[in-house]
Amino acid sequence: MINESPTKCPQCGTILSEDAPKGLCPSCLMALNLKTETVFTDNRPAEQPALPPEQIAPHFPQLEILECLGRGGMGVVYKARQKSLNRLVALKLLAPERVRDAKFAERFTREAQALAALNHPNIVTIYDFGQAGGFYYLLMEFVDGLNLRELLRARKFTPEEALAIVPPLCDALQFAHDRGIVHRDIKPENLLLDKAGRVKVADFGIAKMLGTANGEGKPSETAAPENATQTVVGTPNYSAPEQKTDPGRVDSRADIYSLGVVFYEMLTGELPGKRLEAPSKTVQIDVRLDAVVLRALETNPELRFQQVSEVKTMVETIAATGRSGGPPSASGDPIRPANQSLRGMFFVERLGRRHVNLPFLLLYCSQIGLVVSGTMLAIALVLWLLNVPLPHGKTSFASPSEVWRMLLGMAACFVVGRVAAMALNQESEVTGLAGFVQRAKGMTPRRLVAWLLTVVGTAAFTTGLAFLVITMRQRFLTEFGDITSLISIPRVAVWIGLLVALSWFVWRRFLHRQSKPFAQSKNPNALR
Amino acid sequence: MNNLSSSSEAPRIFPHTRWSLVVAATGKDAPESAAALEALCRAYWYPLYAYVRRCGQSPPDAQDLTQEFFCRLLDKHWLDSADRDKGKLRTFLIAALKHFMSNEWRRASAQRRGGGRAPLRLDTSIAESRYAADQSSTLAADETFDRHWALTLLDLTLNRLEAEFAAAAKPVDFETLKSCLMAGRGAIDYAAVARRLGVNEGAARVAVHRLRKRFRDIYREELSQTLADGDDLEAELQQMAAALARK
Repeated sequence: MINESPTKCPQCGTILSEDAPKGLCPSCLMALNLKTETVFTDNRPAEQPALPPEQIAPHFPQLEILECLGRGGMGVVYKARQKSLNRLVALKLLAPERVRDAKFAERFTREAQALAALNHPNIVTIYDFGQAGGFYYLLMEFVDGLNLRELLRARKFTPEEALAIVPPLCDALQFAHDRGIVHRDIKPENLLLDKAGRVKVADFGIAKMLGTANGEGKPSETAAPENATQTVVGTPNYSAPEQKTDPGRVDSRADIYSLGVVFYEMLTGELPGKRLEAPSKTVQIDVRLDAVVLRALETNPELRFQQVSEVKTMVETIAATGRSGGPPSASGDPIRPANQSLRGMFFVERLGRRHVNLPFLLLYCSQIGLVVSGTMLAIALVLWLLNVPLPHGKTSFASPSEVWRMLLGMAACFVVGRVAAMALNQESEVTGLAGFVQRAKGMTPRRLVAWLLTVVGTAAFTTGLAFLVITMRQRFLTEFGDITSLISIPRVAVWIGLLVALSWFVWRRFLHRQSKPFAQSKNPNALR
Repeated sequence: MNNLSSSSEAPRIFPHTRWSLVVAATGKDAPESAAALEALCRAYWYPLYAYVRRCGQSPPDAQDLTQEFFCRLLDKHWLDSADRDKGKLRTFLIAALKHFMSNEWRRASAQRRGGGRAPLRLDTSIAESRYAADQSSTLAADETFDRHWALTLLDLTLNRLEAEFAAAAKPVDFETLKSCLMAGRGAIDYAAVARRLGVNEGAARVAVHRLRKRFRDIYREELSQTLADGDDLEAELQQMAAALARK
């Protein structure tokens, strides 16, 4: 009985209990026994050739086994037809030599249950799972197409094609990550593309349930420590560094790394070597893609993208501005792509930290200022033209000095706006009405309306606020202490209520747009 | 699977592990098997205690139970029942304990059989403090048992390793080298090890390699001691790994 203060194992990170043998980590010691240091599996039994369809068929009377599609480390896949539903399915059988391996059978069960929980257009659907004739089997959606490896071998991808594949991939991975499932073996062989050009992620065979231990739903503090003794999984070239050195710490960010490797390979045709070279040095691509790929390939998970959806956003941004012909910015600032939500544009992301995009803020405020002042002047003009008697006596609008002051303010806003636009590297035509029209052309009508509503809403809010301030000022100046001021209070209260409601409505539109970016640009399907 | 060998005929498989000795000598009064059994019980009683405690017994009850169980076991009455397929020591012990707990213990209450004679002196006070310090309280009783069994095996192996080093008059070396047992192949700082041992780096590498190999060999040997003939060592190894992995 050794008395040690609770420490962590330097190797696998699990907390050592008091009775750890000689103060050493039991899991790591056992790993020594199992000789599981780098290889996927230690004793690879002699691989028997895959059974021909005729030998499989008797065990699956409900299927018509058509042909053997191939075999991987886990098992053999057959193409079959489900007789009752008359549809094509893929039948995956656990490799016969693995059937006695307790570890593999457990993994197979886990794959089935993990996949069953994932119902997504970009994830291979699982139909059934069970045991038949001594085999464990998995019945899955049949994807009529090729996997990414075969496509890569056939020809190299154009950057546009690569950019078209990544967003749906990110969707699928984010979907799985949201449900606590990490794929851990993302590689071109596991990414299927059907004839319609749809990407599907397959082979969640080594999916790891984050946040549950042994799939029983019990929370665990470190991510699935069961893998601390298990063999290092994942294909070496595509697995994240922490999968090899620190298996207990692997989480969804490992998938982001693997995605980065796949992306790199799609763009350059090669795997990222020991010294990571930016893809743009090898091929002619948008330099902003460098940032995305290199960040995904960061050795330290903390420096990578933390969510797959971030990758998708960046990629879609780059894809959109590339298409619309806007001036590409080498600095990587998101200028004003049609797909980016308004709220997002107030912030610029550099090296993973958001800070306020000052030029854009200035531009926005100056434009708002212009609109507000213009509106106020216009209202004053209308009132003066119609000779409407103003209830409070002379307001400040009637005086020419006020008008001049407003015009001066508008000029100042205009200048500030120009300066800010220059800081954003935009051409001067882009601001002003012509620029607005150009941008408006690039947006869908829905976005346009929303954009207008936001601007008008903000302007109205500011105008109303200005009115309120002026009215209050008048009140205090002229009728301070007067008994009749009591009557105006409800009116003022109503004003405030209206303004609050209006501003709430405007803010909701901001938040609404942030959480549900509805600009789903339909990327042209480049893969036929 | 179990060979009831009599001393007059040569056994088909010579029982060379402790447990197979015990199993083979059923019905006979062989001193070697008695010694073997006692050695095994002395080594592996704590997992049983942990199991009993995990089942919800209070510490004094658990101590009594465990002591009583081993008394009965060492009287060898149970081992004489040849109709039961004994299998591995681990599965046999836990099955026997469960049987004992459900049938016999209830009748025994506080009464001690065997005249209060405890042939196996179990240090139950230390056991209780060890159990209390153990934080892994999310495991079921069976898993607790398996886990402690696996830890006991590791303890035995390391103790033997340490004893070997002490016998060779190099106890300090063991302290230095033992952390190398955990690290992956690429993570060992051989230069630092060499410095601490006072040898050159090449010798350090050899020493580490020998240590790791010796560890593996001793572990397998200890593990096989608990297996009967025909049991699969690799399968048991996998189960031990799985038992340790569950937290």
